Amino acid sequence: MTTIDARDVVHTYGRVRALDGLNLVTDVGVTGLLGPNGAGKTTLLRALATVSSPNSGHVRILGHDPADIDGRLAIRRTLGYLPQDAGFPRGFSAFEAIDYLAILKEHIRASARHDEVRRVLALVGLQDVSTKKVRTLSGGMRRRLALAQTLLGHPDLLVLDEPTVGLDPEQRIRFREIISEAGVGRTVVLSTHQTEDVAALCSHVVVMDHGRSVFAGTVPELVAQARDRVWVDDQRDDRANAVYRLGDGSYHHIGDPPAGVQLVKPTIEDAYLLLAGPGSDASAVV
Amino acid sequence: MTFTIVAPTRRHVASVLAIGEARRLLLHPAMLVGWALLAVVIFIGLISGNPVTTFGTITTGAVANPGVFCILAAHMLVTRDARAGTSDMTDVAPATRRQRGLALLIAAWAPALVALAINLAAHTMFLLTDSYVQAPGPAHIVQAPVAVLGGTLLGIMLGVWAPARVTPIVAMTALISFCLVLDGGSGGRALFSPAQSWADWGPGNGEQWYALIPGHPGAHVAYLLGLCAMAAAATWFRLSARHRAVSVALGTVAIAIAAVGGWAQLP
Repeated sequence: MTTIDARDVVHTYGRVRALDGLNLVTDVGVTGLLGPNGAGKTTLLRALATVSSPNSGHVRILGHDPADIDGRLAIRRTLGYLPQDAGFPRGFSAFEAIDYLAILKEHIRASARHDEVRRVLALVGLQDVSTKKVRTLSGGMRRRLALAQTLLGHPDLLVLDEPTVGLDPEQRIRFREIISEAGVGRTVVLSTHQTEDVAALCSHVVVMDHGRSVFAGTVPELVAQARDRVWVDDQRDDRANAVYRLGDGSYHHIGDPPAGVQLVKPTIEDAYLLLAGPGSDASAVV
Repeated sequence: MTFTIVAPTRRHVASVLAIGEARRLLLHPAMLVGWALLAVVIFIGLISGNPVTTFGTITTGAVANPGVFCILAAHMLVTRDARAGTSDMTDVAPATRRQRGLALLIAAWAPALVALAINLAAHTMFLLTDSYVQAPGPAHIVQAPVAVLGGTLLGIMLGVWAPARVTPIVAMTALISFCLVLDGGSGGRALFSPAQSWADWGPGNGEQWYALIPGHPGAHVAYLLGLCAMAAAATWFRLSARHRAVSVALGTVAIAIAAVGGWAQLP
């Protein structure tokens, strides 16, 4: 069954069309959303998490219509959502914060609920600080605490908005481990600016720009978009879509290469910049 | 790794949530200040040897402390998730805003019940130490805890309708001013104050027992309960779009109880 089926989705904030006829189809596995700031990633994730409703379009999540009250409840019962700016009451302990959300997720029996809270805190490595107040936790710990609540009750759908923000490299590796485990047999949709997270985690990737999907496919398919379009040269060529200077003094170019230059193997970041970076193919269309 | 499968159930979410919210309400820093001040007031009532003060401790002690603080604590409880940035997570949980509101309305009884227990304990102490000239009746003992319930429900209602941080401060100031204005009134007007001592200070300015203020304490409690129900109905109206008719009916009954009680309490 297709987990998420969104077609021609439009969401506006006043005159701004945050989602402008977006299409997204995902299934079991980890789907990564890439896109510049303002591409509509957060708006899309909020719609998938039933926080907000799009102005128009067709959306089905886990076979349910989020516009329908019963459908929305059915989705919420099997959803884990990590918002971009997740916070907790500062006077709560880590355990209390997750326990509070566990009750809201209808985990009623105290002993089973407490076991579940301890399980998710252990998954994100916060079992030793469970009695500490939220206000005493570091930013990375709070982010992991927010991630912990998404894992309550083994949800079928995880919607994660920039989950790795504020995590150090070691924590990011741990996060990848958690998400890749969570992605087995269920659907994870995450947005990130970290292309290496997408390369490491995602079976499916969607590149968004100006409220639309400009690419949808696998990571190798995304990388293939930049094949023969990345080169290194001693001279800077401003006709390229994106250029940056490398440590050895040469220049890394992304775009349409002139004849005779040294082509290099593209990365996912090259492909992303080609599709959604400054002077990208997509922005040229828009 | 051990996985625990937790079977979700929709039943009892509000009651389970209410237990936690009641605990947080009782232990809110503003409430702790109120409880501490109530303990001081009772201690003064015990050592003062003045029966007017002692009687007033039972009838109004808990109204000011923690009653007034309840407004602030309850308002902060209602607006907590929005202030902390938790709303996006709580809003997509299966438990609805209505269930969370119901939990708060249930939790609102906790400070009132604790205030009643403290009042009964203080009353017993005053009886044992022979501190009364005239002992308070059941309505006298119950009225302050009912006022505490009213303060909590008012805070919840304000949190739902006016979540701005300044709201409870304005409400607390307005309520205290309202009580002071009514206390200075004549012709039974003072009975409309939620902080009614009933002990008449008399010409001796409270140096010795004089009399009880004329009026009907039972009807006064009914008047206060009517005000409580009005706050609850206004809260429910905001939270439950499906049950607006129920809220309106409850509000109408509440207004009627407050009006009849307010009229019947007069001498």
